[in-house]
This record gives sequence, C-alpha cells and structure tokens, in this order.
Amino acid sequence: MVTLEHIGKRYGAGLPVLTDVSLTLEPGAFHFLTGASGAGKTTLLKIITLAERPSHGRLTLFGAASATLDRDAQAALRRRIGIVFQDAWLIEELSARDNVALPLRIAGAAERQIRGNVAELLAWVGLAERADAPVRTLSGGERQLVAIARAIIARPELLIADEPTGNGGDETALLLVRLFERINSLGTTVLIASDDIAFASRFAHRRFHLDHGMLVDPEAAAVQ
Amino acid sequence: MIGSPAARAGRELPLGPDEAARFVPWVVALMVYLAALGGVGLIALDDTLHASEQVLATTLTLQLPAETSNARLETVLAVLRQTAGIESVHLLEPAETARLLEPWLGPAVPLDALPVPRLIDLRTDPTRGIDVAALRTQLAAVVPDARLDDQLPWPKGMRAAARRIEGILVGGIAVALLLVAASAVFAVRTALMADRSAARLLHALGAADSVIARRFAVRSLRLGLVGGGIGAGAALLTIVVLGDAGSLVQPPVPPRATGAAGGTAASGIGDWRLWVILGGAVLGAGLIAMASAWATVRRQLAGMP
Repeated sequence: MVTLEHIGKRYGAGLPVLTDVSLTLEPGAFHFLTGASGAGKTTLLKIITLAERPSHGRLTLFGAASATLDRDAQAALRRRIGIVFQDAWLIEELSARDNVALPLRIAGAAERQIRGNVAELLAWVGLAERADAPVRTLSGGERQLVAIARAIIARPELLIADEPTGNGGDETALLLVRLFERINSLGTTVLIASDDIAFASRFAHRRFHLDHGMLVDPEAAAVQ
Repeated sequence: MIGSPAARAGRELPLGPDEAARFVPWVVALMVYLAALGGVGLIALDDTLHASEQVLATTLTLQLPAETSNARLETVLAVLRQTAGIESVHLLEPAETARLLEPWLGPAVPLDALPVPRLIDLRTDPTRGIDVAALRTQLAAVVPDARLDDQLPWPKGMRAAARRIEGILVGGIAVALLLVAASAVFAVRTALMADRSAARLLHALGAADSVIARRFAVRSLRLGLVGGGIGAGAALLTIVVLGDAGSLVQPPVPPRATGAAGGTAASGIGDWRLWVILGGAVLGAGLIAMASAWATVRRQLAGMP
C-alpha cells in the first residue's frame, strides 16, 4: 500500500531531518511510528500524506509513484488517506458536524448522504449531542474525536494519526487506540505516530522507530 | 442538487467569513458607476456627432451679394429648384437675416444701411448626393460673387476631436475595469491570508486546486455582481435625476436630427443601449472579479506541495 525507498528530507541547507528511510505498510496492517520529539516522525507522515516532497528517494502510494503524479492525481490520492493531525486542525468557525463533513464535501457527496453519514459517525464516537456545537467550544478530547471522525468519514484506505494520544491521559490514549483498532478491523491500514515508546510497546502491533531521522530497530530503542 | 460533484464541492466548501472582502463591492460599485457613465457618455457623444453630421451634411447656404438684382435672384432660385438632389430652397427674408445677425451686431445697428448679403438655405436629399462643384459653376455664371458654403469639413474636424474624447472615455473605462480586477485580486489575497489555514487544510484533505479556487471564484463573482449592481443602479439614478429624465443620453442636436433624419439620438432610459451598458458593466465586473480570483488562488495554491 505504501512503500518508502531511501527517503531523505532536508530543509534548505540545514541538517537532514530524514536519512535513507525505507519501509512498507501492507494493506490492513496496524503500525506505530515511535521516536523522540524532533526525530522526524511528523515529517515522515507529511511525506506519506503528500504534504511534503522528499528531497530524495521514492514514495509509492497505492501503487503509484508520487513523483510522477500531477496535482489532481495527488489530490485524488490524498482523498484516500484519513489524517488525524497533531493539533486536530479543525476549522474553528464551523460546527463539529461541518468539520466532520469536510472530506465528503470535498469528494462532492450529495447532501443527504453527508447528513446521514456524519450523524452516524458522530454517534459512533459519542458526540451525537455535540454535533452542532462550534468546535471552539469543545474540550480537547472532544476535538480529538471530531478530528478522528473527520479522518474516517470518507472510509479511507490508509489512516495516519500524528500523536493522537498526546493530549489526554493514559486512559484516553488507550480508548483512542482501541478506536483505531476497530477502524483497522474494518480493513483500513493504520499508522500512528507517538513519542511514548512505552505506551506503544504495550500493544502487539509492529513498530517503526525513528532516531534522529533514521529508522532503527525498535527493540533496541525500547531497551534504551 | 444540481451540478457535478466537483462543482458541488466548490460551492459548499467553507472558507470562513467574508469579512476580508467586505469592501470589494463598494470599490467595484464605484468602478462600475464610472465605467457605466463613461459608456453612456460614449453613446451620447456618438449620437450627437452622428445627428449633427446628418444635419450639416444635408444643409447648404448660398450667399449672394447685397446688390444682386431681383432678376438674377429669381434666376438663381430657378437654377437651384431644378438641381437634382435639392429638396428645398428657402430665401431668407431680411427680417430673418436680421435675427441671425442680431447676436453679433446687436439690436441697435441699422441693417438697412449695411451691405448684408442675401442668404438662401438649401436642404438636400441625404440619399442623393449633389455635385457641389458643378452647382458652383452654374451659380457663378448667374452671379459671379455667389458663395456656396459646403459645411462638411466642419463635422469632419468635429469627428476627429470627438474620436479623441472617445479614446479618453474608453481609456477611463479600461482603467475602471482594471481596478475591478485589482480590487478582486487584493481581496482574494487578503482572504487567502485569513483563510490560509482553511485552504491548507482543504488541500491536505484532498481538495483539488480547482475546487478550492472555485470556492474563491464563486465568492468573488458574487461580490462583483453585488458591487456591479450597486454601481449600475447608482449610474441609472444619476442619469435619471441629473439628466432630467435621461437627457444625458439625449444629446442636444438640431431639431431636424431627431425627425426624418432617423431619430439617432438616444431616447433616455428607454434606450436599449443604456441597458446593455448597465447589464454589461454588472456582468463584466462579476466575471472580471471571478477570473481574477481564480487566477490568484491557482497561483498561490501552486506554491503548496
């Protein structure tokens, strides 16, 4: 589904953020991407979601080499990816319902379908009663749930989450991972970035570990 | 729901409030107001010119020396009446000539004591040209000092001057339309700065550039049409109120120009050309604003990966 081959990233003349990263995400897999803050996790996720171009290396997404795609084709690939951003990244003026509806509106879905699907999903994540509340009035946890609902509303093939467990307590983080596992059980490939190595180690999912922009053995990292 | 999915997405994507673009309709309104009045001015000028040309092109004046005998005068009149293309021959009575001269000489001057020439007003058929040179020769054979005034050179000079004024008006209209585009670009850039986060989010979620650009373009089209409507309404009000129910587009032309000469002068708010100008200005403002927004957003989105 996703293949990175010798990916490197450097901003301007600065130090490399990523160095020779190669990995593969198989369809239906569930992975953690761990690493300390500044290890390059967010940059790697941005490259996978086509928000950044790698300085070198090759990214293959859904069977297509990203470098060969025009802008419209890249946009079409982005629509197959659900993203939970680190800070939720919601449009503050809109309600939870309208934020969740965004991917369907981008896809040009009919209004009736949007209304039905959004209501169903908000109920699924436990926000049915807050559907019409402006997101600026929601708590951090509720905002995170809105972001997750938005990421999965269009049934993406790949779900990327950048530090989704970072803002809540251990119990909230556990609930979120269980939520991602339910999504994964429906066939969606999941990649979750987290700087909490110990927390990620509690689950039986494969881990990729970044250390100063390089992929290293996660077990060795866990021992450290 | 009508339209393709992409078009639907373009209409419905949220990009925050329109506060950054609030001033745009007023700038567009001012520009459309000026452009519409400029366009109406063009029509009025052209109509005036056309009507005057028609009058002057069909009018000749024959001057005979004051001492011309009645016998020669009658002969001249006979020659004129027999000339093909001359519709009417009118010998001005001394009293009529005196009225014409009074503005220059004043009422106190005794015209009887002056060698005032006899004037003959000739009206020609606009559909049949007359041979002025041959007529001059004929008249000179009867009255050697007869002077036949052909007034065509004057409207030609007037047309050249009018063309220059028209050029200035067209330039003014072009500047107004450019300012409409500039205000739209400025508004879109301001809006993009305000909506940058939303635009980037939509981009990250997979919105194609054309979908995001369409959202801004539709917004700008609406602003342009609203502003254009205000400007066109104000222009219409100006024409009606200041122009004495439309005299701005009903130029002052000699009486004959509006009758058999073809009624070339515009006839106020009932003139279809006025409505074409106003409608065209509104539509043009909307389309220019839309196109400017589209191009601006596409250029800015091209900077995103």
